[in-house]
Amino acid sequence: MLFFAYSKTSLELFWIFLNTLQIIDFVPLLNLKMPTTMLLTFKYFSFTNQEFDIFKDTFMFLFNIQGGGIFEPDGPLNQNFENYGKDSLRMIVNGASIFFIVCIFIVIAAICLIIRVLFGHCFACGSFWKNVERQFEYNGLLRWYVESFLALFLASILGLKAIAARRQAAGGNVVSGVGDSTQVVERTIVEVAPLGWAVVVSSLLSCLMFASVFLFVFTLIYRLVRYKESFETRWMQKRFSSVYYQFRK
Amino acid sequence: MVVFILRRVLYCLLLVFWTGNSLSQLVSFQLLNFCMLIILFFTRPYQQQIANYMAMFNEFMTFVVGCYMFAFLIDDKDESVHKAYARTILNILIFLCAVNLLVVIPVKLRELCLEYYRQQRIRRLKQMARVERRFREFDAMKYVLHGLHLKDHYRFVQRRKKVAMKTYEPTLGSSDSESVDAIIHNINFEGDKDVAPKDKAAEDSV
Repeated sequence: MLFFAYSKTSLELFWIFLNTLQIIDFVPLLNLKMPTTMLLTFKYFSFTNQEFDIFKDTFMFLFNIQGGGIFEPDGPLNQNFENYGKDSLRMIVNGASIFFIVCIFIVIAAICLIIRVLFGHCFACGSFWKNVERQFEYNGLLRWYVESFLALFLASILGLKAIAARRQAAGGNVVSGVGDSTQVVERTIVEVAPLGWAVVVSSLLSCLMFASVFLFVFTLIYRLVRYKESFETRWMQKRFSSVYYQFRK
Repeated sequence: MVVFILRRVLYCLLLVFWTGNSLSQLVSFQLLNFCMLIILFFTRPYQQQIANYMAMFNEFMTFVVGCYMFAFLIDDKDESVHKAYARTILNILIFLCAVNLLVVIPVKLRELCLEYYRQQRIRRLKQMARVERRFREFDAMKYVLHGLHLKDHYRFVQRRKKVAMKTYEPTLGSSDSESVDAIIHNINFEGDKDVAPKDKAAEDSV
């Protein structure tokens, strides 16, 4: 796949396949009682939403999130979410794997920047840096955002749900009955200690992610208008045709 | 793109906020899939025709999986019905993956081959253009004059000198006190018309 990715043609069909698998990956989160074998099989598709256990564990270990390190104990939304592995409502916990990838992106970008500052004159000839930046922007950031959107948005909504449940608990309201799931949330939130910085950061991230959905659409429209000429080039059409046509549509 | 994002947003909202009634949640999920299928059928958003077909196929298979999910609404005590439906769903998913991989890899390889041939063609055309330009800019007189330039003569002289250096055998004087300068002074080329240092030494001795 890496070989295909570095070829000069687009991976349109592959992205379509991946998008479908992403939708199917979250099917076990529907409020249905499914056999365990099926849930285990669906677990194999979690890589499509960038859910890698090794990344998640590393991130949680690095930032001391594991075992309620900086967070107070939290509960899942319902049994299906717990079986799937989303045993918390915090955005940082649910999107730990994706945030670890963000960290990797930042490190790569920093390394590229340092190389450019120190040895930029060595690669000055040709369009090396232009190509690197363009590849990073489209294949790195934009494509990554489009593909991780579903998982990030789900994590952000769960984070918002946690905020709402906390506010309701603080106001002494009773959460309207939605079965076992809400009882779990209610119980854990009521036991909550004073608001810690980690909770604030997680809540802010949730709000930010929720806002970024709308921001993303506006950014796309802006870019379409601003860089219309560059999108019309043959190179762009050929290399990023799927993103390009998604922009246009 | 807006449809793409909207579908995901609605799907997430459905998963998190619509947990009360399983039937309505599943029906909404199916409605989303069906709407996406219809949109794909009428708009054909992708550039390649095969991409449009594959997108529609994938959506259709997701819709079929959703249809089979209705079986899990049944309260099954020993889970025999659930397991049978789960097996069917897994088979559908395997079929979906197999078809996608069987399409993606050959199409991609074909694209790669076409791209390679295109690059080769461009390279050949560039080479032809270069040769043609050289032929157009070719100046026969300049070429002839360049051929008659002193280049060959220079080479001839260099070769002659080299041969002379190889064949010369230095001779030391009779006395040990003869200085190095004198030895260097005695060095001469074989073909020179001056008097040879051997002969000069002989005359002195006489």
